[in-house]
Amino acid sequence: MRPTLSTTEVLNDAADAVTRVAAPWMGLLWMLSLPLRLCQAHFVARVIDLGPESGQYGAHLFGIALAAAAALLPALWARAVFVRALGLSLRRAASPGAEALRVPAASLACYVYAALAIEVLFFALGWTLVALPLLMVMGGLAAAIAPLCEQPGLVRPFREIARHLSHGRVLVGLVTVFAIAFFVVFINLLFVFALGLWLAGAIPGLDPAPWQVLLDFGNERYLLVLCAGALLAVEPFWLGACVVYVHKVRSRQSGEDLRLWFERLRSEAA
Amino acid sequence: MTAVAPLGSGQRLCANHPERPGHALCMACKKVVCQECATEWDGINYCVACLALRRKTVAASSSFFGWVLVAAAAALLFYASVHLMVWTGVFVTGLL
Repeated sequence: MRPTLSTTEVLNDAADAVTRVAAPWMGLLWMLSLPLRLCQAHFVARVIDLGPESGQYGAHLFGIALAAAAALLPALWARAVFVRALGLSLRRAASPGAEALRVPAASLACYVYAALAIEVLFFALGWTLVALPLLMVMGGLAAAIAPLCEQPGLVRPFREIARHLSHGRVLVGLVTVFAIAFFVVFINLLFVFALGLWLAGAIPGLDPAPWQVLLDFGNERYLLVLCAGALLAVEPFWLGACVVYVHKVRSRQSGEDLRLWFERLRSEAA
Repeated sequence: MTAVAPLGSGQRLCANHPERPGHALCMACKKVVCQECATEWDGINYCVACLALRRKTVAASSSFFGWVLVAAAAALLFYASVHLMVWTGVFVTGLL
């Protein structure tokens, strides 16, 4: 009997797949996602600074939002490349070469369209916090199913996302694990900076006082940058988990998993 | 409209298989084809070559419209996302 798909199974395979493609594709993902995360952190910091008067600074906020939206496009391309690299590594169990960069135009267009639609939903509903887990899953699945969109279309990406929402228990498990991972990375980054500051105090001639003000827990900008750092650190693993999840769901639907299992049994018997 | 022409046995032969009797007339190239070579699509018979050409043309045109739709939707969503980001920021600070 075929065992049910589990969260730990997806996470184990995702960890292996991400490790295989870490160099250089995770670097590319981080490099192109960093401007986006910093723009988003800057936007939130400005909104907090302006407070209730932020409505009077619409043009200023619009400029930052435009920069963030422009930074989103290269970040989406980097995600598409990373997902393609993960997909190739799952098929060959080896790190892919430059072919990972050749993302088909149709799948990239579908992904950009779906990601922008999810971004709009995020801004419309994200502040309620209730919709966040669903939007998180949709964002991850939109990237993971992009290679399946061989022709551009408005419905296809969302149909594929809906088709892959079948294992709700696994998805809830993944969202929970990655939400915890985000907080763990955040706390770790906080302690790394505190440790760095403490060690800097031991260097003669270096005054850590100004840094202590900047790297203080009460500094909102510092906390926002830490959030951006935590998101950057977790993102490749989240994408990896989504790609592995989609791969496993499709293998089950096509019977590919059984074929591989029989092959393994045959090779073990031989 | 149907492409099945009343072809008598021995009257006309398949253009691809001269040893076989003709079964239908391809509505695109007007060649007589046998039962194996004829494929009905939207109630009209086509030979293999014309069917492949027609499918290619339909795929290309649907792909073109798909590109136009996706590009237009993405541009619209890009514009909406920038405005919505500002509105949400202002709205949330108003709530706090």
